[in-house]
Amino acid sequence: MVSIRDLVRVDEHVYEVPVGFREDMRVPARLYADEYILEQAEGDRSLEQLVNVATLPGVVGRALAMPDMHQGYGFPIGGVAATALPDGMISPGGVGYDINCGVRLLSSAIEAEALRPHLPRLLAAIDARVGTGVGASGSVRLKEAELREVLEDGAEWAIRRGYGVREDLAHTEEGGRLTAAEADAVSARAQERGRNQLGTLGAGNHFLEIDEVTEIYDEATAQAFGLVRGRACVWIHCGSRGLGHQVCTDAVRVMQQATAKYGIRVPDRELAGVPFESPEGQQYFRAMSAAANYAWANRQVIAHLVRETFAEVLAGRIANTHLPMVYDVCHNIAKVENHEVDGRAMRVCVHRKGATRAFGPGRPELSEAFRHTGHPVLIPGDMGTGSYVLVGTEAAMAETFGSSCHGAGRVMSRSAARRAVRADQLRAELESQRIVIQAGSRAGLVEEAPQAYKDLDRVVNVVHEAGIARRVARTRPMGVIKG
Amino acid sequence: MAPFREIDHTADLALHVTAETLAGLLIDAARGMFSLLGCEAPEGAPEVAREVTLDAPDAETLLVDWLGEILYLHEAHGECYTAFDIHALTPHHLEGTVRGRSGADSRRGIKAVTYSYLAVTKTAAGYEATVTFDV
Repeated sequence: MVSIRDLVRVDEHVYEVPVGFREDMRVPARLYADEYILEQAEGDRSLEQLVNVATLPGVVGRALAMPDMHQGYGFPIGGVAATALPDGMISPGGVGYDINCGVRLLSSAIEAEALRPHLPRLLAAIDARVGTGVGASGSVRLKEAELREVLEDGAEWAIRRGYGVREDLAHTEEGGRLTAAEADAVSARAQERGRNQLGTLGAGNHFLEIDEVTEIYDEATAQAFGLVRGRACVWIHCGSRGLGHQVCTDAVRVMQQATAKYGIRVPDRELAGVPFESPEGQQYFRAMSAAANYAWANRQVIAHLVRETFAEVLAGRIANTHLPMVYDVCHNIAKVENHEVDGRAMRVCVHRKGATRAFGPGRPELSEAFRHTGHPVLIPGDMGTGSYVLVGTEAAMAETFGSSCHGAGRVMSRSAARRAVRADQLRAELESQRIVIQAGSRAGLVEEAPQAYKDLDRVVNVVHEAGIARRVARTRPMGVIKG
Repeated sequence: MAPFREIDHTADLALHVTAETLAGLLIDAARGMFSLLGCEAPEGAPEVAREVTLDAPDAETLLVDWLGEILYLHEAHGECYTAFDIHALTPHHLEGTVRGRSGADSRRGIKAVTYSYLAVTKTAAGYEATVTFDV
């Protein structure tokens, strides 16, 4: 069993389990951390999971964990690993059940203080319009043929249907569409689950937040991103809903048998996978891409509904209610990318499981809007602390397959949070910070209490100091909708 | 010992389940899952019954498939199940009926049943398993 005492310090915020630590490791396992985060790593099995990732067939470079690392399924949350194509493995455990769970940020020209008096009405109106909570169904009901279009065209479908503007796509990772997607690769059951959930937030740690931009660390980049201190912005955190969960469930089931077919042995059943180019690998990749497209369409529809709500509720009260896109990132995904590994250009399948792409300036994958700066890296925090906007860096390309953290990372179990936190007390504390809460359930609220998460400032400080993403701006919540 | 109890998991939910028989383990795991869902149907809501038939290569996959199927039925039909009968069972095959009521509301959602650290183990007292749910 690995512990933090087995880590070798490579740099100020970089620690490594050497490749020889366990005989089945193919590459080192590297963790971005400080002393506080190392202590947290002892509290669950995430370090062991990171070492397990370093054993995957075809894994190259290093198995990586970002400072928000905590226990997941197969991969730790915060895990990143790349496998060399064509024969390297693809593993649904390296993506997660909520395929393309991700974050979208909208900016505004609205002064936060001018918006505050309207927050209760605005949040209630958004909550009524956007399906939130367990089992929510959305206002967009899809026929079978329409769902197929969503699966294959992603956010582009949404733009064609009038949910947003074409410019939004240039501000979305992959333009909101993975072209490998095939609707036929998605099971009938998964499609059935997706028919009525477009435009819904879901529950758990998903949220919609209206924040104030409170700090700017990089004026020029913040300006390029459309972020101005003192103005309101909107965060949307959700994924592919029941459709994505089913795609992963279907794939993990298939992989249980298929892994043996290719003579692959993995230390954890949730790491089960197959060669990328195998029929099973391609089936999963196409279905995963389709689920990712569904999630992008979902966030595009939700953003549109939020924009409509702002315009309606604030009509005659605030002059400019326009909410332009800053960016949209995914943090549960597997993508085919070109990277340099040990001095060689390589085509790899990068798995990001609770990790965010952080591409720096000059990358051809980026739209013109971000080719000069690198793209925004959106890091949502808990409802009391707020969130960060960072920017991708060239160092990330060199060291982490262009990846960064995705959030704060949990430190407290949900059951422990329910024991430690009282809903009325939590509400009162948040309200004393002038945060308006619209929550679907008391249990859902306390399980997402700020004390259940790591200190986001420290997590972000690690990635900033390590150079794999650079701080641009900080936002703090004014109003929160949780399912 | 209680047939199921919630155990701490950093990000999600997990249950430790014990029973004298494999069928009992599957039934108690289902009850435990619905306990985590916090599922309730309104008084007087229509009664429902769903048949479940599964084949699996091993007992762990059977458990995951069983819970996954019931979870799907719950979400797809908005039903809350309180009674679980297993008519035929081997570690590779299951036939059962789940009964409950429609119009269900749940306190929380479960995204999926996982294989994470899952092992169906035979003990002196019967069977035990720890099941983790992605929320």
